[in-house]
Amino acid sequence: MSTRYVPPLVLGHDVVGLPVVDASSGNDVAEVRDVVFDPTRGGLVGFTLTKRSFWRGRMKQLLPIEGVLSVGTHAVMVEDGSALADPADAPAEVRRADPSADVLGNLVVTESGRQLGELVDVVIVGGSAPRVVGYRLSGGLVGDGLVPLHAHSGLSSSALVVPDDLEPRVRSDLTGLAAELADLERDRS
Amino acid sequence: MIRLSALIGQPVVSLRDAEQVGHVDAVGLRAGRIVSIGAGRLVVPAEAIRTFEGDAVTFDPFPALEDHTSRPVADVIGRRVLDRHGDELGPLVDLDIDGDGTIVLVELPDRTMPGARLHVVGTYAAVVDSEPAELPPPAPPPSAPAPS
Repeated sequence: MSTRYVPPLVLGHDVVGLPVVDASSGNDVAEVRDVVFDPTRGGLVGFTLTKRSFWRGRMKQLLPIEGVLSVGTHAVMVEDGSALADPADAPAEVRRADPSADVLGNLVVTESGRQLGELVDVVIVGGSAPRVVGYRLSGGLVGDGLVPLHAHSGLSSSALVVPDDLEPRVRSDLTGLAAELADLERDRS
Repeated sequence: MIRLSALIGQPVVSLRDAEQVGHVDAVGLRAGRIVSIGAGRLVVPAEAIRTFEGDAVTFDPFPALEDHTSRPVADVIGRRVLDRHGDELGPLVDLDIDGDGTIVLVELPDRTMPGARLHVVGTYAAVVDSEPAELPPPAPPPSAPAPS
């Protein structure tokens, strides 16, 4: 009996260090160094990479999100080695990943000015269409928690502003966040 | 039918000169089939092998291999198995293999799957297709007992 595949929810820091595996050969071709997130588009645009050799150094090549077959719990799969792009051939938003646009450390506040905490990680839904669906907060009014990405959230390189009604939706684990995301999806449809 | 664990270690004998050239120490697997075996530095393509079901692997003369994707891999048993979603399914326990090199069954610690789902075995992982390549036909309903 076949079962329906449910893409996993994973934290950005859990994706860092995953092997990038060429599905056509079964070989590991790189390792995820960092997740490239474009706050202006609110999307996951790719990954920077580390070599898989004993002397792990930064790879010049990048992995644009278009080249990803799937983000799983144990590996980032690519169809073949051509998914890795030289910087000159990579999409501009991956190539020009701006360290100053790093969203980690951003203040998270509600529209009415309640400071919920600091953004410490992104939550990614994996599978064949990986995307950012939430954030992990720490050190604020609500303590450590996970908040769903909301259509009306505002994100800059310094702060994440969320609607007031999102505060009760902060959850402590990925299972709770998945339930909140399902609720939001139902509300939208 | 033979198990991969039984195939590994079998003597490899050339039919050209009856010379034993080594033992099976690596296997190339792709698209649900054995595509090559390794015996030391020698790589024998599956097309040159008479059958995989004997107590020794015998092979006919063959042209030099050009295709590097057919290179065999050592230590296939125990290798991590990933599906194409990037989720790990556990270590490969064993394979059931037909005489012509077709993989019939993939055995994992907690399940088995049709050999057609084995996509490739590489240096990092064995990659299996995420969904069944073909669902088995539904079983016919049990026939009603004949009235006595």
